Amino acid sequence: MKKTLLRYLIMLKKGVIGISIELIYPLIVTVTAFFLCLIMYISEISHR
Amino acid sequence: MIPDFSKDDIFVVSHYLGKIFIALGIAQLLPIFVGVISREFGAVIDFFISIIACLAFASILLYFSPGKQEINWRQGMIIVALTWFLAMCFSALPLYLSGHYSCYLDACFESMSAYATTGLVLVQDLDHMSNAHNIWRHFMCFIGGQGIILVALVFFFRGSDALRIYIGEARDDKILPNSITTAKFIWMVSFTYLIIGSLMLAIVLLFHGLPFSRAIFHGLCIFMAGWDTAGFAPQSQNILYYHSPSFEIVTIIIILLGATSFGVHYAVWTGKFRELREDFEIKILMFTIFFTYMITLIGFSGNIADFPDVFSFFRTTFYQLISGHTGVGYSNIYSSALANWPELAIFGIILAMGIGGCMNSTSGGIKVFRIGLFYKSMKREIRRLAYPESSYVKEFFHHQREISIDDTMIKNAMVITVCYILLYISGAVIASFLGYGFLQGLFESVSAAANVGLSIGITDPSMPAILKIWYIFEMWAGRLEFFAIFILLRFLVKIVKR
Amino acid sequence: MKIKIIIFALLLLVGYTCYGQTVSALVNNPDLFDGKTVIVKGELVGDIIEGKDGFWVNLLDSGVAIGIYLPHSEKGKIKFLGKYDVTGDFVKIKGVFHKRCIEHAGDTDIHSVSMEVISQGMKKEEEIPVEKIIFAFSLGIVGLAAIGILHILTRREAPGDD
Repeated sequence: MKKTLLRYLIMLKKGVIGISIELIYPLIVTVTAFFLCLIMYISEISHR
Repeated sequence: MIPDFSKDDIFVVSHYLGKIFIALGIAQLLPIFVGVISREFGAVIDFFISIIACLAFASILLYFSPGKQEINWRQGMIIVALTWFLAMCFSALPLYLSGHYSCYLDACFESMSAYATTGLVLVQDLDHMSNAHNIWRHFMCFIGGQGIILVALVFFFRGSDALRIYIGEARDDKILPNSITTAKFIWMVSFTYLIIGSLMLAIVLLFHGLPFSRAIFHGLCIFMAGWDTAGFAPQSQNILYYHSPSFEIVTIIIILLGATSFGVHYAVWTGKFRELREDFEIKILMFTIFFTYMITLIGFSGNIADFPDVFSFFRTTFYQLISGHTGVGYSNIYSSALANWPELAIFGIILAMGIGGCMNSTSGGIKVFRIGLFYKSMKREIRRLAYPESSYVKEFFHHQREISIDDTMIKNAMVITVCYILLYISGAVIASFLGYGFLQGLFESVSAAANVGLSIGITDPSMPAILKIWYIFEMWAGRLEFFAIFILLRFLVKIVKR
Repeated sequence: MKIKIIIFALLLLVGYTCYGQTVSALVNNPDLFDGKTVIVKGELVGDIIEGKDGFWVNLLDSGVAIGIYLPHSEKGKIKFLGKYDVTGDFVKIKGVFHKRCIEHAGDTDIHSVSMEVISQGMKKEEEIPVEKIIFAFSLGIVGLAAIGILHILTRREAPGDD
C-alpha cells in the first residue's frame, strides 16, 4: 500500500508539467473557437 | 469440427459474473456512506436491499460454478455483454425504490444511460432526490465510463484473463504492456483529475456563495459525470442550473480531457508533451471540432441577430457542440430551445455527436480514430491509383509511435463505423414510425447510440416503451462497440436451439 | 391551421396580462414572452447562487425549473429551498422574462420585480413505509443467511479456490 502510494507520488511529481499543459489545451481550443464565432458574428452583423 | 458453445462456457461466465457482482455490491457502499452522512435513512434502506440482492445473486452464481478456469476470447465477450446488461437490471433497483421513476423500465433506462455514459434521463422530480441516490447515479457514470470490468479488473483478475475481458469493453489501446498496469494507470489519471477537477468546480461554486458541503457535492457529481462523458447533473436543469459561464468553462476543460485518449494522457504525463500536438487522433479531433462547429455556425446564418451579443452566441452554440462532440451531453439551454434551432445547426450537432471522441477515452460514437483512418485510407487509395502500378504505397499515422496502416485495420474500423451508422438510422426510423420528426428522431437516436445524452425533447417518461427499450439497446451496443453483443446473441441463440 | 395558431397566440398574449404563466409555457414559447412581464408561481429549489449585483434561485413549477434573478434585498424572504427532505417556499414572482438575457450571456431567465411568499416551506420528516423496513429487515436476514450457507458450500466443493 505504502509502496503504491510512493510510486503514485513519484509519477505525479513527474507529471505536474504534463497536467498543467493538459489543463491549458482545452482553453486554447475554446479561444480559437471563439475567434471563429467572432468572425462569423461580425460578418453577419456588418452585412445588415 | 471446431467446438462451438459448450457447458463450460456457462460455468466460466457465471463464475466471473459472480465475482463482478460482488464488486458491484461493494460499490453501493458509497451511496450508503453518503446517505448516513446526510441522514437519509430511507435511501440507506434502498441501497441495503440492493446490496443484499447483488450479493445473493453473486453467491448463487459462484455456488454453481466454483472452479477457476482460463477464459477465452469468446467467453470474455459474453461476460462483458452480460455484465453490462445484468448490472443495468440490478443497479436500477435502488433507483426504482427511490420513487422517482414511473416504472422499472425507466429506472433501467437511467442506469444503462449512466453505465454507458449517455446522459439521457427519465428521472422525475430530480430536484427532490436524496443525495445518496444522486451520488449513486453519478457514481454509476464513473464506474461505467472507466468500464465496469476495468473496475473489477484491478481487484479480481490476473494476466491474460484480464486482457480478454478488457478488450470486450472497447478499450483496446495498449498503453502499457500489461492490461492490469494499464487499468491501474487509467485509474491513477482518473483519480488525480477527480481531485483536481472536483476542486476546481467546487471553488467556482464557493465563489458563487454555495455552502462548502453543497459545493463539494456538486463538484464531485459534475466531475464524475463530466470526466466520464456521461452528462448527468444533480439538478433537473442540468448545467443551466448554475447560471455561471465560468463554471461552464471549467466543465469544458474536464470534458475535453475526458474525451482525450488515455494513451495521450500517458505520453504527456511521462514528459512527451509534443504528443498533444502530434498525435493523429488529437489532430483529427481538433479538425472535426472546428469543422462541425463551422457547420453549426453557418446553420445559424440569418438568425444570428437573435442573439444579444457575440458572447451569448458563442456560449450557446459552442457549449452544445463541444458537449455533443465529446459525448458528454451537458446542456446550458432547454431541450425545447434546442429543438427550435435551424436544421443545419442541428445537423452540425448530430454530425459532431456521431463522430465522438478519442478511441481509448471515455466518450462514445464512431470515434475520431476511425474517421482519421478513413481519411488516411482514402489518401492511400488515391495515391495508389495515381502512381505507377509497380509502386508500393504506404501510409503512416502517429499514435504514440509511427504506425503504418494495413487492410485489416481499415476493415475492422469500417465494419464498426457501418454498424454505428446503421444503429443511428434504425433509431431514427423507429422514432419516425412512432410519429416524431425524422431529424428529431435522428438527433435523439445518435445521442443514445453515441452515448452523448443531449436531448431534443423526445426522451421523456411518457415516451413509448418500445422506444425506451430500443434506446437502451442502442446505448448498450454503442458503448460496447457491437461485437460483445453479437457474440452474446449468438450464444443465446445456440442455447435456445439445444 | 395558421389561424388556430394565431388565435392561440393571441389568447396566450391576453392571458399573460391577466393570469400567471406556467414555467413550461414560458420555456416552450420563449418568443411569445420575450421581454414581457410575467407572473409565475412555484417552489424554490436547490441553492442560492450569487451573481454580480443580485443572486440566482431556481423556481420549480410542475416539473420544469427556471432561473430567477433577484436583488440582494430579497434574500431575507427566502427561508427554505426545496431538496430531499425539505419543501421549498412556494412563491409568486412578478418579473421580466428573457429568452436570451443580455446581462447574463444569453441565459433564459426571469428578472424578478417583486416576490411574494405564498406559503413558507418546511423540513419534512422522512417517511419510510413500515412495509419497506420489514421487507428490508427480513430480506437482510434471509439474504445474509443464504449468502453465508452458499459461501460455505462453495468453499467445501472447491477447497483450492481463492
